Amino acid sequence: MAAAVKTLFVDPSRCIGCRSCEAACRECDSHKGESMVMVDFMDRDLSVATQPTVCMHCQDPVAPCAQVCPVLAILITPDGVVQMAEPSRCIGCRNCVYACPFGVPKFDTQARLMKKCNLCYDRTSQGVQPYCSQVCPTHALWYGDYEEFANSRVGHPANLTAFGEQSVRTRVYFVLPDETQKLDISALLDEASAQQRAGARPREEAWVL
Amino acid sequence: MQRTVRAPEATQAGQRATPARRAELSARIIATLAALGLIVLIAIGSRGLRDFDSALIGYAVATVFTVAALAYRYTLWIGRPPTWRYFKAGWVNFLSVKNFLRYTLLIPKAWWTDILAQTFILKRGALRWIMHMCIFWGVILSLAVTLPLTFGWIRFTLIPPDGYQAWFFGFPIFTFPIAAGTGFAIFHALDFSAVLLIVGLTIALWRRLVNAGLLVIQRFGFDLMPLVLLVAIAVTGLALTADSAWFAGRFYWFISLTHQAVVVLWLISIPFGKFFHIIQRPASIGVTLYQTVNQDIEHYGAQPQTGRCKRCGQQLPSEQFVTDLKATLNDLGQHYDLGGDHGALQDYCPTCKRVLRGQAYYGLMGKRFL
Repeated sequence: MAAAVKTLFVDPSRCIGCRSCEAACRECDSHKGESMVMVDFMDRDLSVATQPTVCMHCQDPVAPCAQVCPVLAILITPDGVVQMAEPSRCIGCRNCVYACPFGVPKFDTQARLMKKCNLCYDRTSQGVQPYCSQVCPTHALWYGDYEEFANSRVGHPANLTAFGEQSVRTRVYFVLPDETQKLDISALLDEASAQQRAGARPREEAWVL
Repeated sequence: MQRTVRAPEATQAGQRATPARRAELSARIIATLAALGLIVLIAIGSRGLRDFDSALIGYAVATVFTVAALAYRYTLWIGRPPTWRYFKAGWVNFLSVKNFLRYTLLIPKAWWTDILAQTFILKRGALRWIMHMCIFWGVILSLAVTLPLTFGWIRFTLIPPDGYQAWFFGFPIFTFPIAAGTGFAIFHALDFSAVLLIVGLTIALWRRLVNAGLLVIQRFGFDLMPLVLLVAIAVTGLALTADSAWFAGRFYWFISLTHQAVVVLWLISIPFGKFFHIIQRPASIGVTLYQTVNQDIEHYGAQPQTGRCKRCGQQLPSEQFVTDLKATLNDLGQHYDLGGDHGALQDYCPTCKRVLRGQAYYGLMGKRFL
């Protein structure tokens, strides 16, 4: 990736679940009152661990959501930002919602319209950072270019996620430990299950009664 | 704000060069046939061009070009894996007698909610719905009047002393007195549609000038240009009537040429811009039928018998939907099989996809903090 290209860097380990990103996102006039960022608890009754999700703006394969759209409603800007569905075209089939490997698009059943994060394109195309990263108090969502990140932060920014045999390269980065080049979902889930079965990683006591 | 966007290219593995070339060849053949078909219909309908008004030839030529371009784009469009799957399933479902008996009212209802009354736009905003209804019916009414006239399919002859005979394809259809309401309504149909358009376009332009959400994402070529063209068409169209009624036709030649020029511009822009959605929207009826037949649409009240998320058990759209989606992704060269007991990524609801990813991430990170 060219050093000058600015993008989001997502570091879930820094997320404290404050949902400031969601609140800020809701302020955007293009989807007023509805957040396109999602903060999920990983195991609500056992852990406070949370993860923010923004659109990863898939580059290879390019935007699976757009590729499965039967009416070409999801368009991509020349700088690789995948836009939310064009309202005049979206026919509400929900292909994008279920095809997205990252669980990003939201669907408004009544209006029959898909909505998703478009990297605050009104702001980022003018050199202003997205709302979510601007308000994130812990830099779990951070906006800048690769070099800038490497010079100021710990961790390895990776933009490759593997879902079994399918790898997806994205415009948005995850921050991983230095030794890790990609987030291999299947391998990590298998490893976690194996460790749990072997008793190497006992389930913790519930913290919520 | 002005920006350019593009539709995605299919994954390289998913589309080989030969099928793409074959699809393009089919599209060219279909486009040529569609244009030839329209030319033949114009020749027949205007009785060997005897009823063809040569002053309107610009409209007719532009329409032939537009039909060819629409057929070309439409053929390429429905050939895309996701579109083709819905197109095929939609027609199979539509042509099934069993479905017809079970869902007799579904298609008329879908035509009403999706095309004629567009109730889904009402859910996006009342003003937006009024705007769109005015523009939609203004455009449809205008086309219904203009196209048969410019093709020479419709003509009127005088029945002395004060009657008119309407002809269609060379056949007499009905007669009416010139001074009656019928005559007034027929000869001013384009004025009515122009007024409808101006109401809708005023709301649309006002929204695009003041709505902050629209201001930040609208594109000049895609969102504003079609509105500007329609305004020009409606205003010059009304000016033709005004010129005849109040200015003794002094500027008629100039206005009619300007009107023809903007209509031609608008017609040839249809296949390439925002108005292609006029051609795409009826696909929503096929999708509605598909979803209903698969017991999956809430707003028609069908009993949902859906698939379930592999992790949380929440309902997914129908199993057929998930199977078809996997097949579409497969056609595009994408396989999201997580392996082992995990199944495919499309077997999970969006929330669980995110949580799976988060659990994998925290499996890697443990309690580390970067």
